[in-house]
Amino acid sequence: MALGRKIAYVNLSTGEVRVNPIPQSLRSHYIGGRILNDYIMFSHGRPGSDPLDSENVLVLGAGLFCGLPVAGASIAVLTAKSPLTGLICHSTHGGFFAGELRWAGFDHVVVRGKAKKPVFIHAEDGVLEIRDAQSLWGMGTAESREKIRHELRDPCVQALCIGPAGESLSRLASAHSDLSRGSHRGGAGAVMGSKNLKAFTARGSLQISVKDPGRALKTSAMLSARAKSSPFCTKFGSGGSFMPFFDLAAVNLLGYPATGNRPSEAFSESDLKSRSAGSSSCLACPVACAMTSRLPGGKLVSEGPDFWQAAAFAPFAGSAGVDGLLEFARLCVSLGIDPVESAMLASWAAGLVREGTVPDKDFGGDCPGFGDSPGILKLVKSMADMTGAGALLGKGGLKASETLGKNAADRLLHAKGMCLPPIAWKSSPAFALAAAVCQTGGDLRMAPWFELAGISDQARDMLRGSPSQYETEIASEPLSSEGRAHLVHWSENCAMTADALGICQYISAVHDLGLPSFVEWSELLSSCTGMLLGPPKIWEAAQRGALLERMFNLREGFSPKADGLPEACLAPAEGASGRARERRRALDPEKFRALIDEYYRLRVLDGRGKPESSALSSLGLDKEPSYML
Amino acid sequence: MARIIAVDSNSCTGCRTCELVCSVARTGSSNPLKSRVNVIKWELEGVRIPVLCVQCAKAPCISCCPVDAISRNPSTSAVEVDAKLCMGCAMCLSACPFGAMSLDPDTESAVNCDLCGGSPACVAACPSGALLFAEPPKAALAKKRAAAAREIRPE
Repeated sequence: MALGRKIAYVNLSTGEVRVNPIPQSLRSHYIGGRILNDYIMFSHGRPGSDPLDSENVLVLGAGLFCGLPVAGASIAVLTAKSPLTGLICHSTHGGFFAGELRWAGFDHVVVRGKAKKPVFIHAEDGVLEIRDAQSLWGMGTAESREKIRHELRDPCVQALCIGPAGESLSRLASAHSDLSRGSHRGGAGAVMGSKNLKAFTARGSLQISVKDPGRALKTSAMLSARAKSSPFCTKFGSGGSFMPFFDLAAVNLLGYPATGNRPSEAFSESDLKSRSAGSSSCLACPVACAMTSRLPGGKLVSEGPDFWQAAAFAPFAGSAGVDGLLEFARLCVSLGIDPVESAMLASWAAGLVREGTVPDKDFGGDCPGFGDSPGILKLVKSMADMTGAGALLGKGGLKASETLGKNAADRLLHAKGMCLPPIAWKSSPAFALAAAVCQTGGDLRMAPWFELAGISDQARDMLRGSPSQYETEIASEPLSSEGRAHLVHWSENCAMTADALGICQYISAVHDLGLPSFVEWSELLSSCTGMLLGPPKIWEAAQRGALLERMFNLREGFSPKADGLPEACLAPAEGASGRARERRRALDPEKFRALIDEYYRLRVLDGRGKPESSALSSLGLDKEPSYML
Repeated sequence: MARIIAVDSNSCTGCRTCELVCSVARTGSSNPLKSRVNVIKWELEGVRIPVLCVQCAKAPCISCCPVDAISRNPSTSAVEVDAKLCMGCAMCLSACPFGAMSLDPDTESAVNCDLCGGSPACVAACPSGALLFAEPPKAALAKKRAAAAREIRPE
């Protein structure tokens, strides 16, 4: 059965492993993946625990559609209390791991405690074991995976590994599967490292029954064809074709020095194409957005770079151009470190030194200047090893500011302690709001990306129809504030559901309103699993996830004042032209606060950002945590 | 001339949709071990090759089957297994040079790609055009065209 996957509880301190079924009632309330992870975190999290203490709980969850022929169903989510923000974090990754975990019989793995020696957790055909990983410690992510496959004598084992950054407890650490797929944001790799957990591995041959195979395949084929021909996927959906994205009028780059190169200046598209070794895809994906490139020597390939890496690395590319970017992308994967967080912290540090806010010696002379490609590679290595300047920056921007001083903190472009990606978030009130209220920090995964294409009349009707039933107008102009809280509310619920089902957000309405959302997913739930959840019920499940994340953060002492952006984020970008002035008007602090309040009303939060009791009871959250899992 | 499924591995992006669709269409459940087609990969070398029954003209599986359970379907020319006759000896698995013959783990009967009776689900679902269902000369011509295109428009 598609719903028959289990949950495993692993205590690495005692070596105990328990396996339980997942009650059907929880499925209809929380579906799976991210939302069920939220439920588990709220029940099992120990309030106030240090994120890197063995008591912090780490939850791995595969989306409900993973392993089924549903376009883009490949996403697994790592959830923990983030060592970077102290709040909940969700690091998602595609590739082939999530499907294999479900074929191995598991949807969720809850890890507590700390192993005495390095271990990995292996799931195979209904059994989950803790295995020795001492020989893997110190290895890069891909190297670890290959060694595990070699030792298990099975080239089809999938592995989600940390690299040296996670082992050194760098708060920027990520975990990686396949060639480059990474659970990047929030430092979940360090949580694995703090448990002496080198990897999760999976191999499975347990069948996942489909309720109505004919109907499921028909719907899936139709949605796959729609994804392949959608304007978003056609334009940006093949390996390395992300450069035109930077030319979209609405994409603004922030955190860039006036003299630093923008991606379109730093990288030539023809250079990128000449390094490409074709596109590669995740499980069941019709789009294949990843670019692969040949390593020097020509035989081996790696995946990347991607849009985010290009945006974050551009100011440092200098004369190294695309080759510098490729080296940066590969280095981050091998070390298991978040490319966006590490490059944005490097940008922050370089800016502080350049303007004289912080003397170079405070970074031990290791701070690269803009355009210094070898310099940033060296700094990223030290962030992963937690040595030199990297020992300071590897703690994250806010913690580093405690050493560097308030002036440095004021220049940090972050939300809740996580650096904002350098793109798009300032270009519209909707993106700024999405960054400001995101419960995981400066992450734009749930932002209303569909807004970049403009809001047509048809799109407006769709957004305001079922299941949202908004009564407010939504303006079509991207820089408008009208109805923007609604866009964020809608895209958050859509992204939340995609993460629960395991569907990549690039193949969801988050990026293109012509792509699947609640109605299509309801049909797929019915034909694949037999669950009869109409769009309004799915919408409710997403609302539960959003509130549970907020409740988790409030329990951890999160101040709703953190729902906002630092002043530095609201000021115009350095060297900004006429358009920036317009943006500044749009991001007038009072209007921005009004947008946040509007968002609070939609989420049924009080003026301080806490869920109203009526919202909790109507969604059945008033008894949480209920420890049913 | 009967059609076969020809593979253009250069076009394969490695998404394994063919495996998922094959197992769901033929068994009602998703399980790559029950799929008649599998994408074999060497990720580090960037190699992805869908492997499935090529419907050999002189099929060793047919010759070696001790109970004559394997025969050619006269209308599709597909090599097919009669599950009622099959005794599960796996001789065909040993004889096939491509690993295209397998035993279903539940029924213990031999299984291979039978072209879904002339309308293969994997070909219809492949999003990258890596699987072609055509008469061999036409499949070859399509591959020649793709090879020529790579000559003049290298990726």
